[in-house]
Amino acid sequence: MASLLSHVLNGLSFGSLLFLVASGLTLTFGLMRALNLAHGAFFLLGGYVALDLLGRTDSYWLAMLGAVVVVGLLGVAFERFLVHRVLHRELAQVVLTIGAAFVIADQILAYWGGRPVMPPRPPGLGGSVTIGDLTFPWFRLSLIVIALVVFVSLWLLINRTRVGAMIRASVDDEEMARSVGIRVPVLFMAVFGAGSALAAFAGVWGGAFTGLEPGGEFSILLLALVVTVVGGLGSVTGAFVAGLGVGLVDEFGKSLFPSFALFTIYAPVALLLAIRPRGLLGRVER
Amino acid sequence: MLDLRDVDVYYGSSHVLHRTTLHVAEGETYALLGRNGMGKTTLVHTVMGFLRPRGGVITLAGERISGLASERIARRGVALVPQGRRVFPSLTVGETLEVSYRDGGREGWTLTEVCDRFPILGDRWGQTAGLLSGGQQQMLAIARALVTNSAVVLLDEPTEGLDPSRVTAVADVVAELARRGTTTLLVEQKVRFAVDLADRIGVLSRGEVVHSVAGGSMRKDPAPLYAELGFT
Ligand SMILES: Nc1ncnc2c1ncn2[C@@H]1O[C@H](COP(=O)(O)OP(=O)(O)OP(=O)(O)O)[C@@H](O)[C@H]1O
Ligand SMILES: [Mg+2]
Repeated sequence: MASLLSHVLNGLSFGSLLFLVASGLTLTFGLMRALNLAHGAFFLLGGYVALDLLGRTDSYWLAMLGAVVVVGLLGVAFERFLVHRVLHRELAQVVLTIGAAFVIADQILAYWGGRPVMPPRPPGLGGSVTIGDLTFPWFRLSLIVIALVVFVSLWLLINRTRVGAMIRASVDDEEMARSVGIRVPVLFMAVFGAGSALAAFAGVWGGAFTGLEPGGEFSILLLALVVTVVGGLGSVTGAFVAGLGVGLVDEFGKSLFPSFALFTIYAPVALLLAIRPRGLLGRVER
Repeated sequence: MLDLRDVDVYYGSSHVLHRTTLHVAEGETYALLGRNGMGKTTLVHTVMGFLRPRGGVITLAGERISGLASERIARRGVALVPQGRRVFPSLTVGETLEVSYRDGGREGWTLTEVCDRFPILGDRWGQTAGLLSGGQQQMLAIARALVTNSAVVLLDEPTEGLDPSRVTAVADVVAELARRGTTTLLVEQKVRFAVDLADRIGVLSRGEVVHSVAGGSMRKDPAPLYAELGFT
């Protein structure tokens, strides 16, 4: 019983991390159809920048804030000067953003070296909670809570605010959105920045869970893409459900069939997409 | 107010507008007629900035707007009721009008006012636009353009597929735009409808405005227009 609960909590916390990374992708890829394969690199960069800032400022929260702001601004610049030029051209996006991912990972290697690092955990979340005969680290539980908070905030932002309505209008019909005066390029730039900032946040908070090393950008990217696609493009709710689902499947798959670790994620995903090509909650393609 | 001079528009290599020249005076209601495929939608899309002319120039109140991004043209004071409605399917009626609204001063359209004019919009305020009927969507598409409070409104076949009572409602809106001094370019297939409302009428044929007459003269005897349009 305790071991079942511990598997569930492990799965949910890993799934929460996946959702945090995927939520940024859902914004950029799902809503804008801008495929950012450098998203995993932004995750990694967020973690490293925070570690670096922590060394200089000695304050976890300042380091976190700095990393989120720096990577968010980098995302804005990346969109404004590069991605913007290849919107609606998938192949060009793939080449451009993969290239950017390599450049970022290489710079990380140059500045901070290739050894795996472990960002610190947020202060005050060091201990564990005991439920019956199970002890579970507060830090992992906090991931679940944060994913919930991010999910609810994003949902409200997109569905209940004026800016959210403007984003949806731009996604529904970009030309008509522009024709009523909505500054679609500015909006998309801001969304891209927010997506990058979310990746950085996940890199700082979640990096303390997975560890960071150059090369890790593509494994996290792949999982985030899986979550985005399974959830359905553009659906924050779908990404949340899919993130937790993939986290649970991964956890139970690993413990039931230890020698098929990756297979236990990708097989159910392939099956789901065969039955429901647009994912759990994706919009119908126009 | 709105001037097109020698405008050339292509889709790839197919040449659709041929040195098109059109002048719509301030406060005027100009009806543009023309058979299917003559380039009417292409013309309004070009004014709105969806398409870029390869030659010629478009000015609004004397300032060049051709080549600007659509949102900048919109903010200079041009609004479009597109052919086929094109409402934002995932926005509610209320959200659609709120994101489109720009303050128009004392003479401007308010959200309350468009809901008085089209009561269905007030009734369906919280409903998703994608779930409205075709006629309701057309009312929303018109209201969306009105609340931008633009000096120039382009209407592309606003009565297409509407039942007679809604056609009357659209006619009332066009008349009200004229009363408020809004410059209106009305693209139509229904000759009678256009003739009744327009100060001037032009016929677009193979991308050229081939005929431009005062509306009044056509109201008594629209036969020459029918001939120009190829009806017998
Ligand atoms: N996206 C496009 N790509 C290529 N050709 C197009 C495109 N849109 C329109 N055309 C062509 O341009 C010409 C003019 O089309 P347009 O839609 O402007 O005509 P229209 O006068 O609005 O017709 P209708 O009365 O049917 O609305 C037509 O021959 C059409 O086939
Ligand atoms: Mg047309």
